[in-house]
Amino acid sequence: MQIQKQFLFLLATILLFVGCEVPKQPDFRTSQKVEAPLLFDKSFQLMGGTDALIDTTSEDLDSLFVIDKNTFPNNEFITISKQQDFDFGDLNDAIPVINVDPTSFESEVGELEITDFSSGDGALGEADIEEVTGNNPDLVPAGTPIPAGDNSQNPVRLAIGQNTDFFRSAVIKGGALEIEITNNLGFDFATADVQVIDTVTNNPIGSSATFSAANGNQLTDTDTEIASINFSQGDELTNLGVEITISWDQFNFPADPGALTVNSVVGNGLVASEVQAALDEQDFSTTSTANFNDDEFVFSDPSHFVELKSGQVIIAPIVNQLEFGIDLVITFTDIRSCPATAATSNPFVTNADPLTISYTGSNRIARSAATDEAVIELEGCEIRANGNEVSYTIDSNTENTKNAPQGQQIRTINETQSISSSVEISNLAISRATGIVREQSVLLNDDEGTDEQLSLFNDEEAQITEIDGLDELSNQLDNLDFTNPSLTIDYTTNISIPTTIYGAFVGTNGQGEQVYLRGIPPTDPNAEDLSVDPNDPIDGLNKRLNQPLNASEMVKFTLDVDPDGNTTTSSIRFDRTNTNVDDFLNNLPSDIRFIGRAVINEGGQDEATIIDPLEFDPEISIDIPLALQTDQPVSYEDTLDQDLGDLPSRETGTTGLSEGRIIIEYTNGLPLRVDLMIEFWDENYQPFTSPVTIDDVSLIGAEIGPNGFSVDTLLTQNATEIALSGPELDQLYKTRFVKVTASLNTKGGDEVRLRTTDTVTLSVRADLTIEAEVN
Amino acid sequence: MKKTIVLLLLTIGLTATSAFSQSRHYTSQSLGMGSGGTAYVSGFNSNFINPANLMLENQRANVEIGLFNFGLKAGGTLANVAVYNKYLTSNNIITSENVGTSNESGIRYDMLNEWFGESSANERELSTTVSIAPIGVSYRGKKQAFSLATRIRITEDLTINKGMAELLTYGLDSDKFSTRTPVGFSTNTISFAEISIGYSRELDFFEIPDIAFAEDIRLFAGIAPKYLYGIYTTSMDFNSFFSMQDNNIRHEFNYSLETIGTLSTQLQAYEEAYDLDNDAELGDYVDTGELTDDFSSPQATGLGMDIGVTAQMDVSSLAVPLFIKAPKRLTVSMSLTDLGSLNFDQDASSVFGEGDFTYTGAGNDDDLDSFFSNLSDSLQNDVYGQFNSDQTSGIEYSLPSMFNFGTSLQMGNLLLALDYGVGFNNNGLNSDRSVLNLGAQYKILGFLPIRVGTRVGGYSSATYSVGLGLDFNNLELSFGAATVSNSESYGSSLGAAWSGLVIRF
Repeated sequence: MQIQKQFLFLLATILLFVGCEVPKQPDFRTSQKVEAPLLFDKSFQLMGGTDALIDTTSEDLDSLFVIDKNTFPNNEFITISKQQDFDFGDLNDAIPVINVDPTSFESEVGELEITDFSSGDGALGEADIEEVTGNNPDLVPAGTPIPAGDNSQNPVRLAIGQNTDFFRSAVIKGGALEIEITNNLGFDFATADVQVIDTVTNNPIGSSATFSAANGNQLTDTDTEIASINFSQGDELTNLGVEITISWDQFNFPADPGALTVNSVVGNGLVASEVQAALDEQDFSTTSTANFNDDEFVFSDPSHFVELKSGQVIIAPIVNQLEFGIDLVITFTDIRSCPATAATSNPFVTNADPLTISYTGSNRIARSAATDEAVIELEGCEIRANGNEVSYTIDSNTENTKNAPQGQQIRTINETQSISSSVEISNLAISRATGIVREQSVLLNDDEGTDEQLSLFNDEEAQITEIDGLDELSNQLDNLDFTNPSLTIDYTTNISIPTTIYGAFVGTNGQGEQVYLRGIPPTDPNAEDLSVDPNDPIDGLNKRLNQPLNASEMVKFTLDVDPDGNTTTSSIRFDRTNTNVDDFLNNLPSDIRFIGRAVINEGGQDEATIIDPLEFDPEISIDIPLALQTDQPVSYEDTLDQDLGDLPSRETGTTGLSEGRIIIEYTNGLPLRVDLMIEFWDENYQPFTSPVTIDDVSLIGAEIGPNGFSVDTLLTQNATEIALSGPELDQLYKTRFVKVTASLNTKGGDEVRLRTTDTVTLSVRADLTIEAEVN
Repeated sequence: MKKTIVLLLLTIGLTATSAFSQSRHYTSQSLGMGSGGTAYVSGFNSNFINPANLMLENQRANVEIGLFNFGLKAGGTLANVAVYNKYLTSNNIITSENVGTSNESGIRYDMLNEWFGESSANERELSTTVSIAPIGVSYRGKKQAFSLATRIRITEDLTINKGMAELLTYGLDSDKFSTRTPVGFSTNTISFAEISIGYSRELDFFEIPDIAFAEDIRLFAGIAPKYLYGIYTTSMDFNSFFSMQDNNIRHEFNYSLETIGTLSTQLQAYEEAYDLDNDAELGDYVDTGELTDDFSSPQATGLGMDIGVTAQMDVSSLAVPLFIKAPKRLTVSMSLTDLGSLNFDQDASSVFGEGDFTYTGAGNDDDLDSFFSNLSDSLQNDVYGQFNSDQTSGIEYSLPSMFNFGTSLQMGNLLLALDYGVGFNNNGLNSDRSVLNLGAQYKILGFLPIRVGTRVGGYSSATYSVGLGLDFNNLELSFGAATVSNSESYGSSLGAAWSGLVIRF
């Protein structure tokens, strides 16, 4: 019974709970709608900020568009405009280079000519009548007949050297010594032989001279005659004396006899190879010339000059072998107008105009010594080298040893001793030059390998300019026909010489299509011809190595210059009248390559001023007015990264979209019809196995009025719908890329123009049905 | 056998009647026996049901110590398992046709009507209460008994209306919401702890005579005052009308939020900042991570009380089939539980917001680059986050007071119980709908209790419960569980309780 009760109670418990409600496994699918307005009468202006169709404030496009308010007043006409710095090469290569060969100078003493032997004006020596005749006037009365006779046994010897204090000795190379003698003894000499002797040895030196009636120079009483004593090479004049041998006829002893006097001794063409003497100041000068080459620059007029950016005059050590101190002045007469910096660059510069270097006064070059090398900076100096020569003079003065202290007056001087040095004008760089600039032809690009060859498709050589913004357009637009595009090169330059640029521009668009800018002969005879002739100096300009550019793939233009070398700003505009720029820019190049050559002073005969640095700062700008026409639809194509992997799909999960519609109501103010196709692609850029494509979306363009602008009162109002089915929506999760293809049409292919204010107004709402499965 | 069938019919039959209410404390025993217990729950647990039961000698030991008693109850009209099973378990597509017309039909239409009724304003509720009694101790003497019990209660209420459910199931459907549709919900969260001291004594001041078959009648009275420690509370009420017309989405709304502590001060700081600068963002001011700071100190304190009386008598003379020879004891009890209230007054505030928001999509004044990415922030800060807040004196919370009447009949190893209750308010699982509880326990071999029970009325449909465990004289480990048989009318209910470790000596 007890067990039965327990069994019954347990049974009741089980029955109780069996009857209880137990929630089952959930298993259902929901279907929810999401009808959401996305846009409501939202107006999108063609151009503007982030809400505009074209966000002109974006980084790529902020400088791409400009508004033309002038061409069509009241219509803000849009022009795609892009300016880029265009880095032409360095035109400084066109600045002429001048070089000067170093020159040296050397001044030897050379033959020494001896003129004076005495420092005073008095007689060098004299003898009285007793010394000549042996008769003492104190003992012989006047009138006493003196028989004829001579003093050959006891000739008169006068040591004149004692009175020639500036002279010590000399080794004679040639010439004569003229000895002036006066007879005041009171009687006539029948003959008188004069001989220069060494008073120590009494040996004769040189020839002798004879005064006699036979020679027509009898030395009678009161006469003065000059005896010329000739010397041979090697004669040594030392202990200088004169020996006079006299003969006379009978005469009456004079009452008041005077003396036989040697008045003076002077050299006559008397030259020596070496002299020991006290010398007066000696001066000498020399002129040297340094020559400029005339390969690149010619000084053909005194007004021609170069102003130096840098350069140096280098004077090598001046070597003085003489026993004399020397004052020396070097004057560069063609180096002018040096600034103070040049004057202070070396302590020996004493004048800046013309440049003068002096070793004088306390800076005198000491005897038997040498100076240090002297370097003078020439920055700012002008060189006026008429005839392409720069001359300089050297003026020097020797020391006057006679003024030297006693004991230092006598110096030895040899004819082979010299003063020597060299002058170099070097490292010249020009900051400004006026003269004849020879024709210069320089490559405007970096020349890899310095082979004077440029290749347009060598990235290291070509100037490559990327046109931001156009890149996207060129990648995405086909069949565009902009009607009046132009390309302008604005430049600033200080070139004063006629300069022509020969260059090749090639523009490459996003599809790799290339168009060369080509000059075409203008129809206007006054217009500049930008076409290039095969004979023009276009050597070295190639597409690729050994593949020269054709003249028909190039363009040339001449720079506007200021003859005075002032900086000027100018521009060259390539339009459809002088080039094929319409083809070039309708290609929408994303990058433009350039190589070129500048020919300066073609012909090379004109005087010009050229200034370093040669400024040439070009900027390339393109202008594409948004006036376009589409004989064929312009196709816009873009592939966007669009990862829809998070999108629910019933293929992969329990939730998905079973229906989706986007309803677009629009008012189109653009004069373009837009047909849109959207394809959804997988990670391999391939459509799905069952392709999902939206291809029936169209926005009808507005009516076109005069000048191709849309008419505000005839805007198109319509609606279109994008609809996808459940199976299509279920595939969208595979989407990694969305290819958008838009076809833009102008009505009837007419030319249309776009304004910034052209507006599209949209009301957009999404209508989605979301299904989710729960189990 | 006949007695058993009668008993089952009685049990099942009663569940079919409409009797009502409950927020009664439950143990694994009382949950298994239909969530009653007014006349049989003893020991320290009686502090929260009927303190007079401290004197009951249902257990032979005088001292009882309990650790980690745990219980969970959840249910309400929103938890409609019947409708759920009918529509959401058969691979149906929850959709309907002719939406927005008088001819609408389909699963979605039928399901919501059965769940919420026809009116979009109809509300359904789901409540959850977690009860944890970390420790309890009781001592029973000959004439009086004492106890100390602790309990933590966490109650969460959620109410939504049909309009809300329609928005969730239809989505943004302009056909459905072509007219103004009420959309609303409310939530209420409260948690608090109790420390209850119980006292009971036998009323032996007078002698009670035997009455008919009842002999040895004893009368007990008990009282259990308790200290209330408020941990946290917040409540929100959101009301709105939703409509979609002319491609516009319109939402007219108002809401109120009553809260305390850190969240309250954060919201007030945000309001102040927003008034100065409309760019202020709610997220910069509300940091949910800081909300736990509130748990370190009481947010409210209060006093409460449970009182009750119990009469116990020997009815062994009753000739009950199957139990004729068994001793029989009848217990009749009444109690008033959860008397008292709490006032959460720490930085209490009331937040009120209202608005009439119309969404049309991005217009000319809107920047497309930021419009959609900022939309959610804009809605949060500028639409729904624009509110006014007022400091209040506090949030008053009345305990889920109940009147309980119960009787139990112990016949040998069988215990039968009947309880009736009615709530004085609708806080949490409490309901002013009357509730009737029937329960039975049979101890196999005297220590393996099998418990069954039912509850009808109250916050959900009729609930059926069972309980199993070990119940020795000195040790108890048992659990109970409850659910409903048909939640179609009043929703479902789910309950579970574990006795924890109960030691008696």
